[in-house]
Amino acid sequence: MLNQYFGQYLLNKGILTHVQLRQVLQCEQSVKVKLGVLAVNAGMMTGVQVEEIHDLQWAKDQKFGALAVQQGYLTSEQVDGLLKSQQEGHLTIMQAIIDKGYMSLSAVENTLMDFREEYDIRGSLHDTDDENKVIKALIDFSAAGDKAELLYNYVGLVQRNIVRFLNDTPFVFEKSAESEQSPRWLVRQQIIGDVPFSTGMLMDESTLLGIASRFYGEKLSAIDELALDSVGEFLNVHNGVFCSFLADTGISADLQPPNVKEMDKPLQLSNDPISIGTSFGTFEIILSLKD
Amino acid sequence: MARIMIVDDALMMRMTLRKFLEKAGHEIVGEAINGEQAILNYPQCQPDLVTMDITMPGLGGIETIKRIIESNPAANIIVVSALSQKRFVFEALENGAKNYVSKPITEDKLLSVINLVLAQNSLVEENKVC
Repeated sequence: MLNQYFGQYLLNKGILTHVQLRQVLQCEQSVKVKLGVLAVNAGMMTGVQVEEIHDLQWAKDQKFGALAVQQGYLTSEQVDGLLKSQQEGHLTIMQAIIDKGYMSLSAVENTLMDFREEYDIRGSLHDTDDENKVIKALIDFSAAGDKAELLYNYVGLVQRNIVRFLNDTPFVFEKSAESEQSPRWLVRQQIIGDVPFSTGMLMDESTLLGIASRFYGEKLSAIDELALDSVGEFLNVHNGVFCSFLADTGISADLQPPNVKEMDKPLQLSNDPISIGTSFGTFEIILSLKD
Repeated sequence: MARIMIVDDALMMRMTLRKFLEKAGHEIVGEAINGEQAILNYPQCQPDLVTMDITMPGLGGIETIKRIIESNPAANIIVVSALSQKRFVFEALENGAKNYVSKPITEDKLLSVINLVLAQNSLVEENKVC
């Protein structure tokens, strides 16, 4: 989760553009996190020390871990620990940013420190409260009054379910930063019960195919019944998890079947949609509480 | 291996369930996209087991389970649904479903529940013979 929100932070601070972040996310899945990035993230080495070891690697044909131990920056046990976390695949976004040449390791280190300090985050951001802190810095649902917390939780869950079900890293961005075509496909589902509200996702054709392919588990290249059902089912499963969350907080909720339709004109919305970016495209979340 | 009927309004889910079930050697004897179709098809298909979605346009899964069980009290129905709150699970089981699988499904999760229901059914049949 730190991975996800760090990308978000870089976007909000203007350190990366929306296009650069999307490129980073596209290459993120194929990068292998290097030991130096892991050591900086764990606070075991500074960016300057890592760059010193990289320079040494040019002169001596030795592995990063061995040189860091020789220089006294890491112990063998610390290297073993870092190698294990490397296999877990964390921090790929930081490695992708460095590989793309958008930031140096030292710049990533400093920005990561600022990010953690600003949001008072320690460790790897596994806690839902920490996640909500980041979301609240980006989206204002205060107009929803006592229902605002539910909406923050909904957006947080959308992001977690993109990670879980679509195996991607999402980020929230401001609509003005987006220059792509108007979305044409609307996926909707009503949550009924104690707190009825309407949920929706608005997207273009390529994002629809991206979500459908990832959720179905096979490449889908045409907008047909299977693709439309797959994206509808993604929203259905996501909302099902949200209904379980509501039930755990004592709120009774049920779902109506999802439906997907093509828009022939731009949708008139009473609330600002929340724009979500992923490596395969962007979409907007539409939430509307009913009185 | 069992003869199975799939009830789900989403083509994606019907295809996924078919893929997992056929791979495990089961035969898909029928599909239905809503409750009305399931009730109509059930007597013709005579499946050993039905996978039933809950949230469908028209007649929903819970009411469909109720009606199938009314006419076939021995029907083996397992619910495959995105709604996993206790009250839905309880309602489905109370109306005659034999088990419950939450979406998103995995092959292992689905087959373990189906095998369990079929094994329990075999045991009941064996006891009848004895």
